[in-house]
Amino acid sequence: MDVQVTWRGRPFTGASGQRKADKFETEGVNIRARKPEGE
Amino acid sequence: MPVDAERLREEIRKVYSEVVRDPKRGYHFHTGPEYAVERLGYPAQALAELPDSVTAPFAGVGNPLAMGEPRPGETVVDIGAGSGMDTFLAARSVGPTGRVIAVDMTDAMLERGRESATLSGTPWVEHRKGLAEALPVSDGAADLVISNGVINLALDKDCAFREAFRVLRPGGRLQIADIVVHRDVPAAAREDIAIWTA
Repeated sequence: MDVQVTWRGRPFTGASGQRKADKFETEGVNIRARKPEGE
Repeated sequence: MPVDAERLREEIRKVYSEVVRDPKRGYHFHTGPEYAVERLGYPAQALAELPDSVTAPFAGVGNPLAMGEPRPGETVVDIGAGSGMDTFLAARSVGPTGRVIAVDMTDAMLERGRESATLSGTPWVEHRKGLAEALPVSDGAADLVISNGVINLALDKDCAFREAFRVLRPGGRLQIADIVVHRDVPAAAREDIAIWTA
């Protein structure tokens, strides 16, 4: 199946509150795919 | 000890119920329409036409509909729809000949979504309670499956993707926004619910 990443960003940057997950270098992505015909 | 699925879900429900109740309190993620426009590229005018009850609790991490809007008459499934910003944008695109099935596991989100469907006059939006790993949708029912910041909260991500695949018709599209990590997450961290929800 063809899968494409169409955008990457840092949606959490600057958010207040606890950020325990920051150290794992989180990144936002937009991903699209198409279910093959006949499946 | 592995994370208990139901305990994790309960913690997630608590966080997002609070987001509905008090969207501007300040969380480890951003919320609201200004964030969506400035950071994620949502169209300002389209969001301005939606009720505050829909846009204020928005807590997505990307923009699934930036990859292509649904066409009139299509059926869209929104996994973890939340307050429904993507749901109602999709509803505007499919129109009354289409259908949007908004799935969420949090009662507060479902209640808010149903109120918003009434408020916005979009009876072709249907809210169903369910999990990403067990979608309450029949096989091949969807032309488009969308999701925004939800798969990362599913314990069994393979199952969540299998479910999305199952409900898509052949040739149907999957358009998801989510977060990925670029560093290995050690076992101890994977078992810490505070990290799953923070």
